[in-house]
Amino acid sequence: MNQILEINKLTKRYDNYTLNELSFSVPQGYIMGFIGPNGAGKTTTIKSIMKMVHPDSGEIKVFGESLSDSNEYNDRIGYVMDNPFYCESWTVQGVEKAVRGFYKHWDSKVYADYISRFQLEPTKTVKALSRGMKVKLMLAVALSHGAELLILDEPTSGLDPVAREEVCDILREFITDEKKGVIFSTHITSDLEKVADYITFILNGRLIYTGPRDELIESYVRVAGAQKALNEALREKIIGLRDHGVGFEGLMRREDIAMLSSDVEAESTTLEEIIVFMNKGEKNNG
Amino acid sequence: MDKVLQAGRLDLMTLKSYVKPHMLVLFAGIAIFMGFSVENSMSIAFGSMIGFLFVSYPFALAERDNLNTLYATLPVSKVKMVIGRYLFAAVIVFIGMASGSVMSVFAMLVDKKPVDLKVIVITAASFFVAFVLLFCIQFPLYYKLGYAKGRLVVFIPLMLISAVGLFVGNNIKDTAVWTKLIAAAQWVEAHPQGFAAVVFLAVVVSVVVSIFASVKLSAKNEY
Repeated sequence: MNQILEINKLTKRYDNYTLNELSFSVPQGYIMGFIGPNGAGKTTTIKSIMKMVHPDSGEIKVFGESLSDSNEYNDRIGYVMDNPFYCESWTVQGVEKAVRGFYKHWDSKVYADYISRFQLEPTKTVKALSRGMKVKLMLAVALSHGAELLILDEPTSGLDPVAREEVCDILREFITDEKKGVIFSTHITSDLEKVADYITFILNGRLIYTGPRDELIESYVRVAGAQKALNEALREKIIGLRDHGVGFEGLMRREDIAMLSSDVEAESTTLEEIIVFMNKGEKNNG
Repeated sequence: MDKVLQAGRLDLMTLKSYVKPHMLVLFAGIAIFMGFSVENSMSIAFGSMIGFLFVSYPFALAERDNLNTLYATLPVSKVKMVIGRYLFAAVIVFIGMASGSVMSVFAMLVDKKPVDLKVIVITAASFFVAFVLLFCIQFPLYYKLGYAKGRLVVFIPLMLISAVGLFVGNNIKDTAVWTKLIAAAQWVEAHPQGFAAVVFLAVVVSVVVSIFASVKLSAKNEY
């Protein structure tokens, strides 16, 4: 399987936080969900790919080649983030005029189609657009120059469910070309449960998991039971234990459920619960 | 080269969205007024100065509107983006200088004074060179510090140059340096083309050094 994006031992140190030897890759033809709580290092990773921050060590390869000073590979990358990066006084038309000359494969017809599909008024300024519309504008630009890799940094936060579904639909369409790939960082894990094939999960700058989404979800179960069932052996196995007087709940590896007594319930979990309990587990462990 | 032109054009579009026609009419009116009331050539100075004031706009707007992120997403190298900005700045100062020159001629005609094109060209070229050298000093600081911090310190080098100039001016009369300066002035008078060539070379070297400094100083910036 060809990798469209490869990150190998990426390290970035700040005074109070370190992104520590992060490694993962995005295969062609798939959507990689990139998850983790606030401050986990998602944006630092994405900004490293875009060369907006400079890693201390590690290697990033896009389309099989290391990042270079020419930035020519940006011709094949579409980038969308939560805040727009266009002049506020530019109109929707003006944004196209400003950026199209930089791209070899800019297609004005595709841009016009997306503008129409997203119901963006061409004469409206960026400043006058709602948050959702601004995200759609960035998506329109990202999809109008033949990008093969889409990098999305929290694009759906703050969007209503209808707009989020629309973004998910676009990603599904985008990925029908098996040469393309998407890295989709978001807090809204329900979006990833719909579209992501793979998940990379990071916590406090460390890689927790990277691999198929279903494998991650199936690796864990959510357990809950009465207080009396919580013995020391079980306490050690539960991740992010929430002990609330009369009962307890937490996350557990599926391989450990054999040890559960009949009065402890184990049920399928979600990406969101995995993040929440793992994060709580980190905090519990100090 | 195409990407450099696109980068310059991008800055021009950034500026264009904030410069309204009524502002230009107002500036033209002030330039003409200064040409009448002070000295005809003041229109050139004013036009060039207005052009110079606009050249730092892209730095200010890049910070306000998150445009550094846009630059990072474009398929163009940092060096070409920087050269594009210098090109944009030179064009803007040139437009200001050229517009000021036209206002100056207009003021001379209305004043019924003889239009000496040679004087106008020399004055205009002097202001153009001066403002190009000024932004060559300022841009590396803007690239290193950003606009908000940079605007507080960009005038420090100019103040230092002025202070050194004043100090030297007041202390070198009747010295060997003074004699050499007089000789240099006489050489300039006798060889205007040679002087123009020296100035041209100095500007080219300043621009190249300034671009190099801007690229180097901004290399570690993170957005």
